[in-house]
Amino acid sequence: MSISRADVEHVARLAHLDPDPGTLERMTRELGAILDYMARLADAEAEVEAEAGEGASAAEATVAAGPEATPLREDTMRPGLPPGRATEAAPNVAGDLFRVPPAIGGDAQGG
Amino acid sequence: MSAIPSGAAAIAEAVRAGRRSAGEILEESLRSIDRNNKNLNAFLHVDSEGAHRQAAALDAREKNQALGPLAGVPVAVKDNIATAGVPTTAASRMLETYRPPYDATVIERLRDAGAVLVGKTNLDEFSMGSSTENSAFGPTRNPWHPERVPGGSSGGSAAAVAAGLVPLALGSDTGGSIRQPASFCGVYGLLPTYGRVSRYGLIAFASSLDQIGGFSRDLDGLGLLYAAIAGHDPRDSTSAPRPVEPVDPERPMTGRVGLAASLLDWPGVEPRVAAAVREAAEGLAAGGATVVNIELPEPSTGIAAYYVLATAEASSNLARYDGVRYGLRVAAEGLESMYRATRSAGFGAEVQRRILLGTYALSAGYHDAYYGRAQRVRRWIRGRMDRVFDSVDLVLLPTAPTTAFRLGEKTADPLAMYLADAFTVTANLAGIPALNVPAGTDAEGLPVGVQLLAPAWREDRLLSAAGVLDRGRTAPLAWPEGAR
Repeated sequence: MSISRADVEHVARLAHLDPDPGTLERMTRELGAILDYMARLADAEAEVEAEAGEGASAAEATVAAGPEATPLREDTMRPGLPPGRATEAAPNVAGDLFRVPPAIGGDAQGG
Repeated sequence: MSAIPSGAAAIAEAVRAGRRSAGEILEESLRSIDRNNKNLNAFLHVDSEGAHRQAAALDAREKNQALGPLAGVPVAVKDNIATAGVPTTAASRMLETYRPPYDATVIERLRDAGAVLVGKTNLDEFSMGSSTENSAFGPTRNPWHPERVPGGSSGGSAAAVAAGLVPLALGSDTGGSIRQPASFCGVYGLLPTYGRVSRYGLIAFASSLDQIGGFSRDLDGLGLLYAAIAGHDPRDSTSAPRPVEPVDPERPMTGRVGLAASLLDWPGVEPRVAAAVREAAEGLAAGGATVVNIELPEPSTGIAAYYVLATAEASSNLARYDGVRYGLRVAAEGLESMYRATRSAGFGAEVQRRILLGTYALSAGYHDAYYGRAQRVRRWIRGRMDRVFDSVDLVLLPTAPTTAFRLGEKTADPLAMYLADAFTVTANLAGIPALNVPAGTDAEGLPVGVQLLAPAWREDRLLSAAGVLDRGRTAPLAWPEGAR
């Protein structure tokens, strides 16, 4: 289940990262080794299924992060940060708004 | 004038009784930081002004005004926990200039308890690492040996407590990030149950695994820190609305302890670490516990599941760093180029590696082979731990396979670094609490730690068992040379 350089390039695009050729090469190698290690998950799962018997529920995915289900909150409005405070750490603002470069027309490689 | 007490409980008691002022305790802590931080790089930011304000407010109280359980105790905070108006960088260039507009819940609770927050400690960038070498602001050094790592990711907090710069510190633990540095630095390090301590204001790495906890040189201090931060918080939807069992290290421990003896032969476990676990088992037996042999899931299965899930969640959590709302922006002509330039310049190598890995594990065609499978294996591990705790009250394990390794020893091999978490990820995957208990030093003078795991919500058992081990010590815990 190793990973190719093209795979890493594809994933980097999805993740909005732009690795240079040297980094891409190194990442392909390192990610390949890590994914080879993770292949043991398939063996573990087979073992789990064998242990549980056919059709058993032991191989269900985790549904809650904690030991208990997360309680639901009341569906009510709560105050958030006022606009001026929410934008005060932004690198570029116009009044109470975030300012960004153009999404269309300003970027030759835009997507 | 008598020396300033070094334990958190003794400091708080002296300040409450009026024998010591919070101001003089703070000065002593700041002087230690000033003397040692250049070598250790444990603190990224010392908030001297804010700390003086807090100490002055405590010292200016009315005579009849009661003070909290941590009155005047200097506490350090891992720099991935939001502190209003005070730098919170996650040790990343991405957040180098970031000052949050709000405090994390744990920060509010510590202030309410009377703690004096002295500054922010170093970590692996966004908590991604096991050595604190992935900090954008340089590695932290182990106070026991300058060429050794302090562990990670909460290495700055562990080093600050071990070196005596502060008696207590906050950390966060996603796959071992409190317990492993606690082991490498020879201090107590507690991972509470997932949902026990509010994560509101914790910079997210892997939300289903992240948990805030703390470091202390002694158990009384750890108990006070835990009691101050534990409990329900409506601002964190994963925080559990349930009472907190009081902890008491003095309580006798008579239950059953499970020892996975076969794991002591796991590849890479140093003989001194295995010996420390066996000695701890004997210590617990001598203190009244019954030690039985148990089987635990193979550590490599946990590591594989953990690194798929943690990186998948990280790839999603770190999507927010896009140069728009806060943090670094690298200028570019178009929006897409700006995102890429910002993220490529702002994130270090390990963070980028984990984002790529997590994005891959979640991408079309691979989702079920990696993420889905890891989720199912996580569920199985959790079920196995539930069954283990049907027959024992606690589990005893090594914290890390080795003592502190050398700076640079594992940086070229990410997988070797991941294996440092072999014995710690189980607790995070299962959502259960765990504690590193210092267990002396090896032949090179480096600290060794052992780990206790308890069922969900039973932090009290961890501290009681650690109390048994502490009372059974043949020599008091040692501290690195030069430490207060």
